[in-house]
Amino acid sequence: MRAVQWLLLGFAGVLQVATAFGQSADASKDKALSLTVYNKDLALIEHVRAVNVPAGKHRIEFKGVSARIVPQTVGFGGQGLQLIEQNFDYDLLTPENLMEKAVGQNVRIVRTNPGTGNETSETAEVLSTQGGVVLRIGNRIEVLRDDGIPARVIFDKVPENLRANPTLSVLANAAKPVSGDIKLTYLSRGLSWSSDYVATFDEKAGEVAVQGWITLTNQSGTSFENARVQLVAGDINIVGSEQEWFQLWNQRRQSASARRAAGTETTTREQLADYYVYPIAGLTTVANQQIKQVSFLTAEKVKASKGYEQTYYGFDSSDEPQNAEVRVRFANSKAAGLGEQLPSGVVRVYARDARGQPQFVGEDRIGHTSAGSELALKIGEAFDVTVQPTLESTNRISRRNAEYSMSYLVRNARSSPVTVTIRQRGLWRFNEVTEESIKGRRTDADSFAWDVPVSANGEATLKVTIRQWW
Amino acid sequence: MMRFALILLMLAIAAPAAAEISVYSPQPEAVSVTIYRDGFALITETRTVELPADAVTLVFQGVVDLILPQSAVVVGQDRALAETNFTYDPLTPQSLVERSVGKQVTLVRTNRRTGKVTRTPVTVKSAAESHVVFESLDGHEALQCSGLPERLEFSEIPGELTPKPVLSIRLAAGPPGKRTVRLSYLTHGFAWTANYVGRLNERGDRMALTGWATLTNKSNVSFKGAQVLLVAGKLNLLDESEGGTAVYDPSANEEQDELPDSGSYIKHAESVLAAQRLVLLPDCFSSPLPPPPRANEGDRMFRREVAYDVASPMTMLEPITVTGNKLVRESFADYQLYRLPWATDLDARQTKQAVFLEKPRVKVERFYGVRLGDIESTPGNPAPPPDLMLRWENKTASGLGEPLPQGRVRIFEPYGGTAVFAGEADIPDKAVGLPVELALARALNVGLEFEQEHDKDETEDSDVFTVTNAYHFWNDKDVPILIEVRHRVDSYWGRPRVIRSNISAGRKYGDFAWRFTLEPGRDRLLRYTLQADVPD
Repeated sequence: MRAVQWLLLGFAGVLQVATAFGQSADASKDKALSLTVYNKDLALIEHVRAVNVPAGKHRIEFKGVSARIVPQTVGFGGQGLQLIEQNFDYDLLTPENLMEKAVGQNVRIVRTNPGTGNETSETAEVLSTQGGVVLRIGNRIEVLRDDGIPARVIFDKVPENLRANPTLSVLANAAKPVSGDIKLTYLSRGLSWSSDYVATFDEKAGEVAVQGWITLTNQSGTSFENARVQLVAGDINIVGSEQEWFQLWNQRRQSASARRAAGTETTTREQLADYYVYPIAGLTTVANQQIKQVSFLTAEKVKASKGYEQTYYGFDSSDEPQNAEVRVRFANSKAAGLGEQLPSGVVRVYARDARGQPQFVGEDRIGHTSAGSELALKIGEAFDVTVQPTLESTNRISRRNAEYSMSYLVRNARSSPVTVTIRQRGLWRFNEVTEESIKGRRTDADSFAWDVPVSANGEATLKVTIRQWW
Repeated sequence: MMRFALILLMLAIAAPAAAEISVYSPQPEAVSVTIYRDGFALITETRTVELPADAVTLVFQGVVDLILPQSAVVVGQDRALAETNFTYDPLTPQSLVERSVGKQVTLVRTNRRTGKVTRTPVTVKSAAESHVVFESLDGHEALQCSGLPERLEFSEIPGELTPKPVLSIRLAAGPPGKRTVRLSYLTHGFAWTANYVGRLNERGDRMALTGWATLTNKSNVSFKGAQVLLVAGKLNLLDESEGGTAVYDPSANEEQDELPDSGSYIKHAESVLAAQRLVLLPDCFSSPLPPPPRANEGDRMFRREVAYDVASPMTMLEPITVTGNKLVRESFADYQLYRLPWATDLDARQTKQAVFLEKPRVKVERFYGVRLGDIESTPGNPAPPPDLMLRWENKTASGLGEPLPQGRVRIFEPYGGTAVFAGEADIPDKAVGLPVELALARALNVGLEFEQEHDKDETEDSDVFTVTNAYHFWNDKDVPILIEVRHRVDSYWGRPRVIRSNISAGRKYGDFAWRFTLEPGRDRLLRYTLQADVPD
């Protein structure tokens, strides 16, 4: 197997039709081209090309198809043409292949005399290429360039099946002359898209402005000109490597942590089976090695708030105060000013500095988010808001029953008051709060949360005792 | 107010007309560079452009090639934005021949003996697998396989190859005229770190603390008259492979590179060989790779070595541009923002330093500490000397009260009229109001002997665990010293308690703690018994 990836050169879209054995009969460009791009390194490509051939058997060569084509997925359709076979040739035109295909044939050897600089030309028959080129010149047998003297090898012609690039062709039969369109569809690697969001958070106004961008990346080795492009959101199942799977799993896990409530609102977004489709209106050119961004969402003044959180999974003391997580919360709902299907992507959050210039403050991933969902993006850790946990005492009440007293010292070095939500998670099967200095709430079967208000430049302590058993 | 715009309606209007107008913006008029600690920066540029009435492609030249294109935002164009494109199909010897397949180029051969140069027009037939096959009037040949000095000459660069990355936006038709647009994007290749120098006074109870910010532009773009800002804080960042901003650390994934995904060693060997053959044209003039970032440990060793006999913080660092400007701190979101008060030139591959903190009299406490991590822990056998600890409160009353971004603190103390290096430690971000405690070095002339007894249980199946620790300290210094012993008990144990102690016990950060002073030339015994309930 050759490293196919490598050979991926862009070309003009040309369809070459060759009658029976190789005479060129017709050439044509894409009449229409459409790309349906899925999130992850996959696209469905459809070329429509004009064909004009007399009756008989024809070999039709498709140039300008994606260099990362998955040949097993090629589909071919054209009225009046009957498909006999379909070929994907990747025997490449390299010096090695050229010489190998010349075994038993004649080549010309041009030697340059190192003393005089004179050239002499001889005809030679190639006998073997394995581990060195063995030639018969007249009645002598010798090895090419065994003496280190410069020697050019000239091949009169190149075998037709050696190509600069892998090429897709079909052998088709026309019962009568055909003049019409043929359609070629296939899956290709090398095309991906992702959503990127820019969220500018205005803490004072309690608002966030959200812009959504679709980022389309073409690493297919081929440029697609004047294509109709649509993007499909939703995870389709692709059998891939374990590593890919892990990455996907990781993304889903992260996304789940940013979503606080799933939504049930419906939108007008075009739906295809269980996916959402984002068509790009008009025709666009997707050049090789290009990253293209198209805006798909602009929402101003979406109601938003900021919160501080810190989650603890056990009962331990810490010497170092821990910086509280900063989350920006907003609802993806019509009432809050948004309410759209948001495809999975990275949200980059900006806040304005003292001079009004937006500065980057952190990013988080959202999953495919339906309208009506609530989001809490983790943007970073607060420099000036810290929590220091101390395990004050532990008490084993009986064999399966223990009590832990924690104190959480919350410090606020900001010049405004803050509220920090402290969560205690990962508790045993049965648990209860037996003492608390601030009234908290049970958030689920194994977690509690307390909202701790802290004055400007002040500190506050939350003391809780939790009893648990199993 | 929500506007859901499939802008692509505009795109239909701007549908790829063959002769679309391009307007080039060669450089920004004003630029601001906000550097983050995590190896990236936000570049914000102001550019003035003249827009025609027609649909137009606006090309921004001079962007950093380590740009994260998905982060680019352009505002102020006052026109419907059809799309943003980022194209970087770099011009390399390899891409040059690949894109020349089917095109005519010139083959240049030099006769070694006569020096005669012949030029022949040839057509490139293939550039597959790093080898060029061309066709001339003679027939087909392979380049650089004959042993003759030969090379290809190209008359033009294939259009799509660019020596520099190109960021452009396509705008719909609209009113013509001058626009001031703001382009912002994130880019890798920038970083800053904080370093502190603390100079203790003779008595060791006050320290002059200076904070230096060291900022680096590792990119190949120079910014003239730039506004430079530094952000201190921990941002949530996602992995680059998932479309995030975090810088990919190749050392973290070394194992993955060992085996190709095919799992075949032979194929791997082939690909390595292929990679070695990749160079088609002499690479004598190809640009060198940027130097790898210095390994932390090596850096540290180097600095430490040099720092021993140097008093000035300046001389122990590599050649660096030092600006006289002190950084000004501004309140910003949940981080600290430092601004260089005047515009500065931030050149390609340049490191700069600036002071962000100067506090001449910070009150410090110096003590010697021993700390045990759990009920049965010991300091080691034999017990090493205690740690030399330095502690201060980040409060105005203690002469400080300024945010301290994470960084390395190097402490110098006076000795015979000069300053000697007393040790170094890293601090995390320290907000105002927090205590700072550093373990600087092992104590000299402070001794410790340690003994531990596990008290015998009275009954075989006792659920009580008892341990007795005895510490014998002595002070061979000529000054009194403060000693602190801490003993932590994990939450695994029930109701830990000190049942006996010859010095009264307190608590610190949840640990049992003992503090006492030791006069010069004296020794002292600390002996306590700790008991806890054994869980089932």
